Amino acid sequence: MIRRNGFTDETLEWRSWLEPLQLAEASPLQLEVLDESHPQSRTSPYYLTLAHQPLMLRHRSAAYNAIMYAPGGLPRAERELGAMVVSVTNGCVYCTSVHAQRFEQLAKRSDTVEQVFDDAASAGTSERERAIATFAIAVTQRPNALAGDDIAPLRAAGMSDEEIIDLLHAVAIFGWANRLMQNLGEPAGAD
Amino acid sequence: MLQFAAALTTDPRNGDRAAIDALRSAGLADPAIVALAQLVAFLSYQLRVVAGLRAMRASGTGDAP
Repeated sequence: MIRRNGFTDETLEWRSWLEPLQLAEASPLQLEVLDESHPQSRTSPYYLTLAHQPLMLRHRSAAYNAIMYAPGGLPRAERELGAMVVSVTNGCVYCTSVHAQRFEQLAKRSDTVEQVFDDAASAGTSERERAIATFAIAVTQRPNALAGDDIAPLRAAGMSDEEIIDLLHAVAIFGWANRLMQNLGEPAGAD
Repeated sequence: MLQFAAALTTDPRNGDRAAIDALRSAGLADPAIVALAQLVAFLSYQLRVVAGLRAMRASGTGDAP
């Protein structure tokens, strides 16, 4: 278990500031979209909140699941590294805990997680991980000033254009996810 | 609504319950608040993807779109 600078890789809960959808009142479309979004969405306050707009949730989940879970392309652990660095940069404690755990499960190690919690800007156990962390912070903090110089370290670390595009999507979608998590509710300790 | 959208775009950290209460006081029901948050937050994703693809093209090597 890692706890540093207010971040943790422990399992947290999330509490909605809105009224999550009551399953008993859900329409067939809402149930269908919940089930295609996430295996545990019927008991998740986050998904039940987003289910108030089922067609928006359908598009969000199709994008999210393809970006984070699709086979091939950028290794999934590196997508999770990008997600974790963005979540730390945006101060999303809940998102960070989820994606720190996923990184650890996929990479079978937690050294990079400790580094990201300590200082995301210098984190990474390899040139490739450091390039990913640096790029994730740049996309998060100064999207309008991104330039070719921000891409070069990724290529120098051996990433193909296809992998860079996968990373860009993973990093960018956490700009979306962190905003929902931090503006529609708040993290809560596990029961 | 505009205050909420601006804060959500520029300051992803400091959401609070008071901002949600302000939307409710302005007459927005929860499904409308979800729609507004999704729309604004999605743009944060979209503009980053566009900016990143533009940077890839500017970086020259490779065959970025």
